[in-house]
Amino acid sequence: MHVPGWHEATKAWQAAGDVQMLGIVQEQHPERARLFMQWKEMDWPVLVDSLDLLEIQVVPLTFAIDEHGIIRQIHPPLDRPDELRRTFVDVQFEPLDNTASTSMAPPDLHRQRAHDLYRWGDDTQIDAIVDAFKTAASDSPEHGYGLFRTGVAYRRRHDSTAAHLGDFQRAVHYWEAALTVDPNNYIWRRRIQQYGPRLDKPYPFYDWVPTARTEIAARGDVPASLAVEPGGAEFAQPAPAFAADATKPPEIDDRILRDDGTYIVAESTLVPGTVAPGASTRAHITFLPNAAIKAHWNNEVDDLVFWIEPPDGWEVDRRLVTVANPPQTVSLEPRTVELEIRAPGNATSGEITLPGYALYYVCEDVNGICLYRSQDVALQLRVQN
Amino acid sequence: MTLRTVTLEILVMLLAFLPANGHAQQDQGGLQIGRPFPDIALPDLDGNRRSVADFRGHKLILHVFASW
Repeated sequence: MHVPGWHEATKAWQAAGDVQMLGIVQEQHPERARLFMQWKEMDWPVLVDSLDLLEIQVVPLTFAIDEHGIIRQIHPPLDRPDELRRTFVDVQFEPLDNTASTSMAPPDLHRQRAHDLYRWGDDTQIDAIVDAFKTAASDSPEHGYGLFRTGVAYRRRHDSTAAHLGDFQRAVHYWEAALTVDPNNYIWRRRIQQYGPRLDKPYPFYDWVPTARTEIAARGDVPASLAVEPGGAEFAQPAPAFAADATKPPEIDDRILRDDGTYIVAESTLVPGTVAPGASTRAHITFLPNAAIKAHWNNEVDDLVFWIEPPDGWEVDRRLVTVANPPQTVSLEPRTVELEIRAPGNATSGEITLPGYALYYVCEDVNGICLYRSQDVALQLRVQN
Repeated sequence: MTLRTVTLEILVMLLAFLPANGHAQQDQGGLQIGRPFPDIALPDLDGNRRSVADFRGHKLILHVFASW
């Protein structure tokens, strides 16, 4: 997002007590708005509506609301202070009579419970939050907002310490289902695009984050921390090239032991999970040491590598992806590989599997043995004409 | 300001929005000029329960946005 030109003018109004500025942020990861506002020195309260309970389908959107809570202008002329003063700031508005209300229907009991749990519950309740949305969505499977919000809840669980395998893909599935109900909902589409192919991005999304941190630090301040770091998909640049890749596959022979998920738990998510012929998707493949057996990375040997074998006609932006070892010898972090895949223009409808495998050096238990292992990862995708 | 100019202003505003998304009439949900802003409680960035209605008594500029 670029900073609107009226931002400087609002500082003076707010300081003079003429108007109160208030933000409502609609992101999946709302704490990123805190970093953004710190960077741009926007000092106003911000409410969070990740579920889009207000059912606003486009951002940014600005309202001028009078002292009685009545909407007086949409897109007020913030860049024309005299006009705003004449039409809003200096106007004595009359309250409405009691019959006026908004046209929003109250949610039913299941939806209300889900919305309450999401807003006021913490991540220790995340399973109950997800279940509440699933219940509400199964009551009315054609309710687009119910589907979208169920996806928001699944993605929140994916980002929590209580993540279940497949939560991210389920989130994407629900967002895609919401879009089949209303293909024009901009906010729902943005949620998929955020994690989806770079070429599909209408604007850079989170390219501003590194710049913001640098500039905040240069002022001598500590940049606000992010609960969820933007992943590779969330930066728009550089655009991928689906060029022929001459890279050779990493060698794998019989001496390399297989890992069936005992040591490293692999999770793959495709955004979107369904593509039209000729369209692309972004694969997110995460590798996490299995805490149950105290598995951990050992970084004294080679980096983790991932190799994909696209079927004939399928293109990828990279066939070999490397995740560099961190400096410390032992670590436990999730390692994520992202790459883009494009379906052939003549692909037929149905399920397709794109095979790949990872190679990594992993250790068992605290003083246990460390071995180079390989794990097969099958990327499951649906083609739909 | 007459109703006619208000209507015209809204029309111009909506038309200005069309190239960006193509379905301006739905963008604001049930939120309309002359209606109260819905009294929906939302958490602030620190998790505290807040509502747009908490700001009654003030002229409010409400900016709905995403940092992308």
